[in-house]
Amino acid sequence: MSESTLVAPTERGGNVFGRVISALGPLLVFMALFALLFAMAPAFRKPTSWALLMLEASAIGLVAAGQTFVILTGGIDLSVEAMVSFSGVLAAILISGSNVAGGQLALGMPAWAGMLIAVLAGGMIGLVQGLIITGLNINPFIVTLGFRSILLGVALVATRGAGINIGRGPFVEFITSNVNVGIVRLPMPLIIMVVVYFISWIILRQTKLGRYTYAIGGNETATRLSGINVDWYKMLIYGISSLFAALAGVIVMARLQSGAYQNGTNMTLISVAAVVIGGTALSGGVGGIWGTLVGVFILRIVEQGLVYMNVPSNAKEIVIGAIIVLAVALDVIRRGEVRWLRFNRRRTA
Amino acid sequence: MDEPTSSLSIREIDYLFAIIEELKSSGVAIVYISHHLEETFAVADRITVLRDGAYVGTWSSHALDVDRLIRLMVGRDLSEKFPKELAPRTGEVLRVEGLTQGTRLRNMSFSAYGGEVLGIAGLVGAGRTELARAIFGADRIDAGNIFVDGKAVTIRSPRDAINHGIALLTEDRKQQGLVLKMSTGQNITMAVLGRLTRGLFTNSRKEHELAQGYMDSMAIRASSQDQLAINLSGGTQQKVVLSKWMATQPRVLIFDEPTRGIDVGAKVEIYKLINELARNGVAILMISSELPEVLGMADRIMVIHQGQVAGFLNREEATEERIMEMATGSSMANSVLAAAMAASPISSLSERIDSSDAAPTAQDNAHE
Repeated sequence: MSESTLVAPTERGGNVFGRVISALGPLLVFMALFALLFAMAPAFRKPTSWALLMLEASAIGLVAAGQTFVILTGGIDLSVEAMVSFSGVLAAILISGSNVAGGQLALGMPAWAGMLIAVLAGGMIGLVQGLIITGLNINPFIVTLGFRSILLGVALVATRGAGINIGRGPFVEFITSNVNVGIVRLPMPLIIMVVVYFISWIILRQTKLGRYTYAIGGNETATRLSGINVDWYKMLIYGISSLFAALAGVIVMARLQSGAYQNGTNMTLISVAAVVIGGTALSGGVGGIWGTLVGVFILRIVEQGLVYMNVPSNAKEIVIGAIIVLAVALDVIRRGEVRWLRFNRRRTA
Repeated sequence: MDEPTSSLSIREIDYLFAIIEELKSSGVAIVYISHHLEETFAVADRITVLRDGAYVGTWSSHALDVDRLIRLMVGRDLSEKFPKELAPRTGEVLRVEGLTQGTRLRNMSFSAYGGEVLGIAGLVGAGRTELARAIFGADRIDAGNIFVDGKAVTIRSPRDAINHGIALLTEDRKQQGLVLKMSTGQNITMAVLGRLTRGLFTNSRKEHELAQGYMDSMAIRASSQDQLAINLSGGTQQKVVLSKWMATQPRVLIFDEPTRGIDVGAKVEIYKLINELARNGVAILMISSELPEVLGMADRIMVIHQGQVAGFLNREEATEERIMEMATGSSMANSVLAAAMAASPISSLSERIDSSDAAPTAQDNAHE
């Protein structure tokens, strides 16, 4: 993979050193954090904590992959955390029934079927969001925020605020298992996530959808005037985002063996942060999927590090919030969008 | 001052020049950057020429004339500013009948022929760009029929237009023509990526070959296909946009202000490409605010006034005065214009009729 697909090619161009730094920057940050935690927290030196890190990264990683597509087009999807909860709840209901009527009505659907339906339903809801955004030309911020509320509300009503538990069947066993890959044991959710990242990478690099994702984010008007059905592709993008979030939702549900409306809490903000930390511009058109993966791991290792450093979990939010603001600030400074911080003004003809 | 007159009307330019004179007499040194050569002569005492980022020299403005200055700027002799070649006219390629869009375009009918450059002139607000966008399917129309090669076609989107062999090179290449953050090669293949896709995946090798073909044949000055469009010069960017449209193999190519904001040498290259397209039987519609460009490059000129076709002029009979007469729609306005032109310190500024406020009645009406 070339550096330009790993992370954003910088607009400055030409300067090879600068491009390599900007491509590898997030990775270096991750390695530094890893080394730091390794040195300071003895508990972190065991491979089991690394496995935990990877497991924790997989659900949010899936959500962030979808968010990457949306942000590349210059949009944003605020509904993803609600989608994680919703799809988990839907799958749990299909598998073991709702508790609304008082007591569980076992529908008895096999776990794999329930989860598949939940994921596909999630994707469909994403397409509907995309249809509303493009067809009625409404800001995605508003539409996805509205759907966040709707989906959370449905999850809350359907569960009455309590989780719906599912049994531990062979399929649930399978997607939460650990797999031996060579000498290391990798959690299945991580493998699913990595596969999704490879698929996303191929879509972005080698398909019309991927090319137009960048083009729409770079210049929607010019893309439209090049004869491209922008609305159609934007709709697909919101479908992908919801599809990935719904997939994350059923994986979280399977791990917890419970579909609850809190399953996706905080995932929207963290996914946006991971995308930006990974070098994708919030304004769209520039960035890539692998940067997002590194961004996810950076955020996860910070969160885990705070635990090892005995920072109270309530204070965790402060640190995560500060990192997000810092990442966005660094992003706009790096792109030279802050006038009073711009040292070498470059003219283009 | 960097291109200070690019968005000023003639009256405002006069005012600016008066201020510059004042500043000069109070001892202020002024560096004046412009690609309007006549302006440079009107305002400058000394002229410095830069070419490809290198210093060529500095001369007293009395020691230079426009032709000499152009030679210094492009580093070679320009045989002509407008290297027009007459191509044989083939059959009718585009016919527009009764095109109507609100009050902006009113019952417009005309034909364009293969091998012909049809110049489209008119004041700002007369509906030139609106006409181009309507034909290209970028805006909805209320009534009217469009025929390509004699067949009626339905155009509801730019995609439809492209499929029927119509292409539009928009007036603003940065806002509407290019995706600046994408590479040169990706911009060239933008409109034909579907053709380069087999099954699910794009064919990188074919895409690279196609883009490289245009990079070579159009002499696009980029370090490689991977260079971002934002880092190219204005003229090179325009050639990239033109490559994008040539890749769609159009029957009709609409140029909206093809040489706006690009340097003299690149203009001539664009004109030569227009010649080549005409030679290959493409029907060319060329919208321009620069009357010398229309007079220099068009085989036939259609003048638009307030969203209507005001008339046609053949290359031999067309003059700036006749075009302005039709464009303003009244001989009275024309005399006002002539007076304004006489009062202007630089008579050739009249070539920028779009910024002319010399015909207030016509323009005000057109802006309704």
